[in-house]
Amino acid sequence: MQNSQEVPPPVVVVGAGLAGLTAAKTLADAGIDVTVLEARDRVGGRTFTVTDGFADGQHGDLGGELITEDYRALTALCGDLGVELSAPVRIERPDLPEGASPAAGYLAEGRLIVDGEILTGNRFRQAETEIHTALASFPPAPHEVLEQWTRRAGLSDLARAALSGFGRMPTQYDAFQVDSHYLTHAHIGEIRRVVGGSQRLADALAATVNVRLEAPVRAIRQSGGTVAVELESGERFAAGHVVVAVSPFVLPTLGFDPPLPADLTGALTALQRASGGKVIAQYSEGDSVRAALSRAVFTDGPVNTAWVSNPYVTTGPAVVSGFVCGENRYVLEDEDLALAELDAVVATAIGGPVNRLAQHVKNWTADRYALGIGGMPSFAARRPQIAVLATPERRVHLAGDFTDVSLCATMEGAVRSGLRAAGEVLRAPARVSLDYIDRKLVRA
Amino acid sequence: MRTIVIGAGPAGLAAARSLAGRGEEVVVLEAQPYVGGRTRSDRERLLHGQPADLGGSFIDLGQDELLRTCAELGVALTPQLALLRADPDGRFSAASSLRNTTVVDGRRLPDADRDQVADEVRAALDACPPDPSELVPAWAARAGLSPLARRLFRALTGFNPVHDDSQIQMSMVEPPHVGKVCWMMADGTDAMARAMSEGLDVRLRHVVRAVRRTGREITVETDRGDFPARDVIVAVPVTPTLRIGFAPVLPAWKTEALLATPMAQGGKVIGQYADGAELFEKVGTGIMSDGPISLVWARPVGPEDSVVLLGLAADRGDGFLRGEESALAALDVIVSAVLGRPARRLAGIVKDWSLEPFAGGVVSSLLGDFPRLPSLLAQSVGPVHFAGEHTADMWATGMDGALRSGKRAADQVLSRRSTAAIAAHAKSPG
Repeated sequence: MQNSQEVPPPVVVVGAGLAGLTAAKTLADAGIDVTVLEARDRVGGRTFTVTDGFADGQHGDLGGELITEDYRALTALCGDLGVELSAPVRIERPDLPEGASPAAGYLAEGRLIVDGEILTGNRFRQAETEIHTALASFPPAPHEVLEQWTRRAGLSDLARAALSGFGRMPTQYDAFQVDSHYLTHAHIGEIRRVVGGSQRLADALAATVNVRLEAPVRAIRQSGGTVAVELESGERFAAGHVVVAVSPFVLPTLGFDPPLPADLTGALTALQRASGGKVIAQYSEGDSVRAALSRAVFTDGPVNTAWVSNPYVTTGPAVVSGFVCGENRYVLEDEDLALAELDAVVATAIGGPVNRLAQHVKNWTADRYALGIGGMPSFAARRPQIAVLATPERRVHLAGDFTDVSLCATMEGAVRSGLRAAGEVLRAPARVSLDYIDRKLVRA
Repeated sequence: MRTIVIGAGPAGLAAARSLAGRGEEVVVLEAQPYVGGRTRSDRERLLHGQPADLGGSFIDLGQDELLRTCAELGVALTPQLALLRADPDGRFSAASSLRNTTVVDGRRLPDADRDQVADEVRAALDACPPDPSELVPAWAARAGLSPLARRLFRALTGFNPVHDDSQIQMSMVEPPHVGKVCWMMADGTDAMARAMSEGLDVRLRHVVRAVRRTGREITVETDRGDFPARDVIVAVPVTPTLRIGFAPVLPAWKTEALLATPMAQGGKVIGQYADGAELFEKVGTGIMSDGPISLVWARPVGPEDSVVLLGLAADRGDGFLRGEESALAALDVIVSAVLGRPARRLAGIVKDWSLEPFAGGVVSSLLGDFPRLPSLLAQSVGPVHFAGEHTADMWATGMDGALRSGKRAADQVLSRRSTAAIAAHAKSPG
């Protein structure tokens, strides 16, 4: 016998990334009995900080690391949990006039590498002028992909190469996939990082809830007002609601009974995959690396973007994150090759040889619980697609960075989606049993 | 009035032949130094001039456009073959592929165990009918398959459609729509494209950068000069289409349809082996494996008792297809397991279509919003028309679909002509 006075039924959250952990914490704070099931042996999902091998207690982030001014939910969460954020760094050039495009902000002399050389002097000005003129004369359509725009605008090979790095940076898509919107309207502005690595936020969240590690889920079955979550081990958890907060590429591969609606599976399988990952290394030339790379260097090579991921550490060695995506993702399949590419970028940026102290390579495409860096619907199609991706399927609620309409595919999107999914669960009225209706509501 | 066709694969060549046959002036621009696109065959690297089909291989019963094109061009086929075996009740199901010779962990699975796996999958298909849109791994999990059956079932997508299973829906494998009765082209798949291109004005090594419309004129801009046209047929795969600039900009619905059509990633591992007759017999309808090579089948026995075996492998981000020797060694393991002793490889080729700049992958995966997507992809934008396996109304993602789409695009060009002619006639005095 059930009525609204009873204890709310337990909730299971699948996935201990930022989305799942935020949902779980929110539910736990509201007095709900929550269990988080995580397939990996760690929490954090695609936020993943490593420390082993790094000198001076430094660290590297193999997953999400940037926090922009828009990341209000994540910033508030860090405040609540006592997770310290670094001072801001500006990626775009500081002398940017009002109303200038993000592309203008990334076009800074000395920060673009083309063909293994830094663009300076006349070559830089030539590329800069050409890109500015093209943006003014051939404004990109909101849905036009970058590659199509560069061809329509008739950009030279030099200008295309100059765009190549920062064109891929915001989404980690190839130029034939990324909306030119990211060049014209999506300013990144100032960025912060979690001091000590993004994992600190995941760890702080996890400390507040009950997480079961190494518990991969096989199937989620709904019937009769309850949900059963079945692990690969065969163990089953019964819940009143389930929040599924896994990678968008893993979500449709879980068993759902009944199956997920066709439009949801369709939207998920049609999602462009950002494939690839990161190569990170710690260099002993700390000061020169910080001087050259704290605000990012963009290249036309396999490492599209490289920056110091701990610029708030001002002495000792420096850690550099390099991003590899799309057609270049193969570089990550060979650790030595990936590191050689990063070394070359850092050496070019600082103008001298580098000495690598520690290193890690993360290929998210080959990670079975990620199957890619992430993915977002195209800018023009985003709203109707997110409406499909974020709609609960009865008692199964979907969370994850890909379900947030404004900050899709970011750590903030993950946090907001967790808050949204928790809200869905909390607002759901307790089930009213037939017996209760008969006894209390029906006038005899 | 001239039409420019971009891409000399089967779709582009079918469009160009259709237009040329009706007296139209056509120029085909091809980025690569060869025709055929993803139906290319290599004749240099195997012994005895044996063709290695690097891309498309199979013709299925019912692919009548493809069969008729072969008949018309005198392209000979190999003897009939099958890639799956009927279930005990005579029906074909997604379990039928699992009745092939099977290699797991490098060892041949005893036939009785194999049949037990196939029977288990068949029983699960009956007891727990898949939703057509449900992904292959999701159904395998929901149906509660045993670990071995689940592993082998998920491997099916490695050859159909040569992709990691995380994007492939059950409608692709159940019921099986290919593999019951099929053929290959006896002289290699590109025999068709080569024959189709005869008599056509095909300009190789012309990379198209942009398609610009001003008034009624179109300029197709390549790295080797501009080509004027009245109509353009874009007959390249999804990814290369997204790399061409269009002025005016393509409408949002077209770009979104292209972006929602990811391409399957993977390729082929091809080995030529000694003891051809014996291997041909033992390979039978094909060898299933739990990966990374998911299916191996044989071409007819060639000269000096050699045989060419073809293996399909999906790209799982692990670098398998990038290591030529290790990929061929993985094929050797499968072949040796079936032969019962170390197989003697005479030559080998690995082809990774994901790395091919003018392909972008093996085939398009239309499953995101199937079946609405191909019709959107096929719509013309004024005088710019679209062909290719992803735009076909039937047998989409196959060679037959490519040919059909080319003919359809040619008709779209001609119907613009007749509409224009009707308009001109109506305007003319008297």
